Amino acid sequence: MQNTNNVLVDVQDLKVQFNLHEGTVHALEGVSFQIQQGKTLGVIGESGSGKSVTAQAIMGIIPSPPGKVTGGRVLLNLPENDASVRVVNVTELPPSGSEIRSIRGKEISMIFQEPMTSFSPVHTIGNQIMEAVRIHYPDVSKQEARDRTIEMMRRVGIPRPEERVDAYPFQFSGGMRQRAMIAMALVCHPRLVIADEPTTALDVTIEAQILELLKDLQAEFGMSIMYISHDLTVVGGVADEVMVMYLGLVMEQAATDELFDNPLHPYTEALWRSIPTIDGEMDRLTPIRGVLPSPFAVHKGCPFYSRCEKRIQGVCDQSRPPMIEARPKHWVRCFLYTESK
Amino acid sequence: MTANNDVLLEVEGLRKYFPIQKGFLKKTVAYIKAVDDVSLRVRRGEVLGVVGESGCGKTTLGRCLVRVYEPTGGNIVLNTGDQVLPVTELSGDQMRTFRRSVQMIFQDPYASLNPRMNVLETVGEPLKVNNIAHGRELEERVAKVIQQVGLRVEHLRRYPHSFSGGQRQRIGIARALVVEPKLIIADEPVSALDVSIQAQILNLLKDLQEQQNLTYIFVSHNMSVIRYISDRIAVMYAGKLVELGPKDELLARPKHPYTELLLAAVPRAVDRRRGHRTVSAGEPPDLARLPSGCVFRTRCKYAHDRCAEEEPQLRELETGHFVSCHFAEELSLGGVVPRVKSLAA
Repeated sequence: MQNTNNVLVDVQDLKVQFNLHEGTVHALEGVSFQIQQGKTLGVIGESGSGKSVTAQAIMGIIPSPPGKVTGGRVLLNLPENDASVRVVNVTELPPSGSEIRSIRGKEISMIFQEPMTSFSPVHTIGNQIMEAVRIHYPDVSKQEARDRTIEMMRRVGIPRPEERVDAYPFQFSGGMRQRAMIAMALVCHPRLVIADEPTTALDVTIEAQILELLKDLQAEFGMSIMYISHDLTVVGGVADEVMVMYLGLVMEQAATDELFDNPLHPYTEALWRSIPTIDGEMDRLTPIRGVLPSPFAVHKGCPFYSRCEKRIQGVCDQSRPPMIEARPKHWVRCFLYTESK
Repeated sequence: MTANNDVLLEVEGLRKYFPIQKGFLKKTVAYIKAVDDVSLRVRRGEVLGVVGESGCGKTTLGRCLVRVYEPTGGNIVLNTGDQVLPVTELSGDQMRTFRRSVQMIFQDPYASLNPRMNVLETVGEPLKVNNIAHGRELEERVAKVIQQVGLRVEHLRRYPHSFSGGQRQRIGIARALVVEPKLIIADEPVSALDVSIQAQILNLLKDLQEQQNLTYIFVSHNMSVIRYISDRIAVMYAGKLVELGPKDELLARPKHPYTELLLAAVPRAVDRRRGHRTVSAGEPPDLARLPSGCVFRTRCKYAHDRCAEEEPQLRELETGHFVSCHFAEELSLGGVVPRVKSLAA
């Protein structure tokens, strides 16, 4: 699809299912995308869309059982010191083997939604950040690890880091804890940071600060970011490229401006019409009709069929629409655009 | 003041302080002033949006107004049209009328419904405990309200687990509506819902309000949602009401620096490329250690010496537009300019 030289993450036809007592959840049903080096991919989706499972698959932390990767690959192109590129397929690695553990936390790290529950309450913030350095760089001395931690805490905007390095999580406010988590994610200078709803639990003023911080840090360290959120306006502000997910499928993918200016998929359009904005039109909101289908439901056709305003009976419910490039570098999974191609 | 029949609810100098207790003897060492000297009026048939960051006291305010919390001080008067109720000192009889007149819709539809009660029991309970209806009549009234909120009569015997988040929120709304209240206090009623469901619930609330001429106090941290649903907006900060005004006026021409900051932080749909979310002004305050003078001054980029010395009082700057800032006349603050370009066209 794109210049493969700069591709850091290459996800190909990824399928994940969860075998539960109540039935099988097809969490991902063939998801493909790439993340470029130094760029931000925004992932938009509601609950059940598979956005967090995608992140877990890249990290190699899908809880198994009940989760299982049933198909596809997650390729990481990790540049080595001698300018060669090491290609790793995460889905083939044993989830607690040494290879994935040398990647997780060092090459890829993650920022979670809830900064309160992501830290251990009985260890100091500093020790928890330092742990990553000590694990991935065994030759680094304790003092050096501490210095790096303090430096990174300073970089993410925690005031008086040399004192607060010894503080416990409960002594931090929500915004400061989220900054500490970003410091923890970045202390080993990863190539990819996966941010899963990192600002959802925060106030808007703090959210704005955190988003700005992530952008600054990206400019400084050149890492790629996969930014997962249900909030379209937030994703629009941070991402270079956006993909919209619904029930385990990528529905639409394009550069951010293209996607926001010319949304093609009925789901994307409907989402746009259904959210109140601070500066948009004040007409009545148009809700998406119906409810999210049960996660156990199996969709023969398009998973959005039951709620779609533009569905074509006999077509959309019969087979799954393919992903098509309806406009230059703008992919959409919908039968409305298959005719013209 | 309360003679005005347009005013449904009048709040004056409302305070709610929570004690901070320390040590074995639980000695009270200080107070958290969750709501501090808030005065406002709610007109019949309007939607008053209350917005602010976490810890600003918006939820506590809502809970004082339904008497879930006993206020520390101040007065609340509810004028139902037939009766004027002093909410802070209700007699037994008045309390029953009050409970029927004011209802609440909660944030989390998963936590606010009893999993062992079916829809009929849940929605019918306020009728039962308030001794309004029983038996057949109760069932009829519940069935009617259930349909108003977009559920079906077949749902009456089902239990919460068989409903989605949006449907559960509809049950919560039905429970509030069933006693035909005058005032509904909705505390973040859509923030736990998926984006595609939020619009359904917002539209439902809006329709019900218009059809039944209901009055809402709508509490939310989400300025975009507040903009959609409200007629007037009240902005709270650290337990204080810092600005109150008609929606369009307040959004386009905010008078308090905090409102400006709050508006600047909201992600923009249209102007996202300009990257103008330059918000670098600190964190929400520690309520146990508030600064002297103006509570906002430590984050305010316009603060002067006077702000540390003297606490600004809420005053009416223009008709219906209240603000508590010493320099409100002199500052020209940036608001939100609505754009007409349609994104979904």
